[in-house]
Amino acid sequence: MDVVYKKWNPDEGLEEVQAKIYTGVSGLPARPEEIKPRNIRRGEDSTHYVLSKEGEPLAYVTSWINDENPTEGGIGYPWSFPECPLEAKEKIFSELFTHLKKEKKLKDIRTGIVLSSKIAKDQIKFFEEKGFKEHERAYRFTKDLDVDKMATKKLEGKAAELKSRPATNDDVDILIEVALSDPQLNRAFPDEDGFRNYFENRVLKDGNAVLILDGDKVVAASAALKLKPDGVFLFGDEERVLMRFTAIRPGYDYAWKKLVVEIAKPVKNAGWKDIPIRVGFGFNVEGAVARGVAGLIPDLEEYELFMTYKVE
Amino acid sequence: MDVKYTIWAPDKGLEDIQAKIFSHASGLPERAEVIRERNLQRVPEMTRYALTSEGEPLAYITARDSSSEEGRTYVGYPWTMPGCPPEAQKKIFDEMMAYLDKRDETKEIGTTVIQRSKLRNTQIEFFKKQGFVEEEHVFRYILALDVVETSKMKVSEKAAALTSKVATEADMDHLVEIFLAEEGLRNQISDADGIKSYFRDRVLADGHAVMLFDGDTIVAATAPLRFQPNQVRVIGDEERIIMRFTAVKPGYNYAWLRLLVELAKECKKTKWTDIPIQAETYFTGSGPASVGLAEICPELDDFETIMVKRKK
Repeated sequence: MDVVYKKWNPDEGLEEVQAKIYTGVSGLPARPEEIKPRNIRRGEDSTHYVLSKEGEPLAYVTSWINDENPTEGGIGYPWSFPECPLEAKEKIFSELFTHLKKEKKLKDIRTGIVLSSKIAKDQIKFFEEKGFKEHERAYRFTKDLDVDKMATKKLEGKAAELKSRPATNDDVDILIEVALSDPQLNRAFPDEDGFRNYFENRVLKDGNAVLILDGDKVVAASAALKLKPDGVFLFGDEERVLMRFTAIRPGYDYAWKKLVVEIAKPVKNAGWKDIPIRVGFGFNVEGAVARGVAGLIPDLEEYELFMTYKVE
Repeated sequence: MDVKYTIWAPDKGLEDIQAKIFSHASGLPERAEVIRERNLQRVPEMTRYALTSEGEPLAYITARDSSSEEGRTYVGYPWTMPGCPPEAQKKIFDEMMAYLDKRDETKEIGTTVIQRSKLRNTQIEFFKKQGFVEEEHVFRYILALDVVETSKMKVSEKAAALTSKVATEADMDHLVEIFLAEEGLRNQISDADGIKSYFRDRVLADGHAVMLFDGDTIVAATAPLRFQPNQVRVIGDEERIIMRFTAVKPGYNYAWLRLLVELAKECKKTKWTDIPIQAETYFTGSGPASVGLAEICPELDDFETIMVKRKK
């Protein structure tokens, strides 16, 4: 089969190709509009594609170097459709891997394997054969909260003094500002336009967004989103309401409780009161005890396996 | 008041002084022999004391390099006895910070504040004033497992293939080997004589230590210990059986569950079925959802706060 090799460029819709291959092979969701800015940030040499002569998607692989820590980089699995020749898949991976290994400062090349991927076992085997070793696992601690109980919950202390109001189309700038103030959230999009697009065209369109205020100052924001299980953000087979983004201004961690209570109110009004609100946070662990204990805890979801290759 | 300042030196009883100040000021338990081991592994400058001219304890401070986070050095709170002049407390802290500032291997300075410390708020305020920023929380997930139920738990085929044995003095070499294989334990006691005396005088004296073997190789060991709540290891007001040390050989993560089951069997044989076994794991989380959830979920213990100051 004649194939064409390409590097990333922002003008040919390669992000669509990439999303199509990833979702088709892994069964997991991907958004072209999130892939594009990520690929731009990583640079043209960091993502390689295999296409058929007719331009049909066959395979891709992507890599990165940590902006803040140049000793750490990563490479993804060479995702490919069954019709992609094996040599082509191997070629794009080994070229990129070789290229990474030549980076002077790089000590660790990492890869993450989302364990709910349809081919997680093949991915693990592939990277083991390339000399990658298990490094740590990512877990998610999750809890389902009852909508009625949360909507009527009496808060105490500082959280009780905060006020709230629904977010409207006039609040886009306020949402952007509070999102950028949150150190965990402010890297979700590469620039302010990314946030603007997200809030205007997704969050506010769907509604159920709330703002939390300390006096006149907006200190937190989130929005309720009803989600069907997708194997990434939501496991299992039941719908849940998620807090789709959670922006908290530094120093206002205590506003989170108020946010949950205020999110529960529109959820109740929307008639979703029988669907619990799923809250949680992620963390990484390594070692026998942590994995053993985690295996006994129903509220913990094992989510991703990280493997590392040590550059000599 | 005449104050004498000194850095760590062995065989001067400074570890007793240190344990006394810490327990008095924080209300948390501490053992001088553990401090001695720890201090011996650090350069003397990493532990500093203020004493009266008669050698009575006034204050101390310690620092240590993180074993997992490259470039981070943790500094402790300058713990004091009542009557310690504030200048003396300030002086040992400032001198420690000046020392760390000059060290090339220290890129950032962290501190951990245990949630149950009597001085928690004072500690947090103190470090905030010194330019430290709250970064993450260490959480502990605590399981209380029924002895009889746990002794019947199913394990994986691989784990079932291991052989188990209750340890006696004749197994000393195996115990030392597995103790040294576990990084967390190795960091506490590193010399073979110290490890032997730990097992001979404490673990084997109390009995019931269990070991797992893969062929002739020891791959895991632990021992049960009935433990009264001390609000650190066991919180609340009920006695628990703790796994007093847990050692698992790298590559044998799957052995942990079998180890737990064998421990439960040994407890059952000993008729320790009146109280549950406590299994726990620590992990680091950040963000308001983690702190908020810990308030809602009793099994999730917000154990300590990590604050960080980056070097200029």
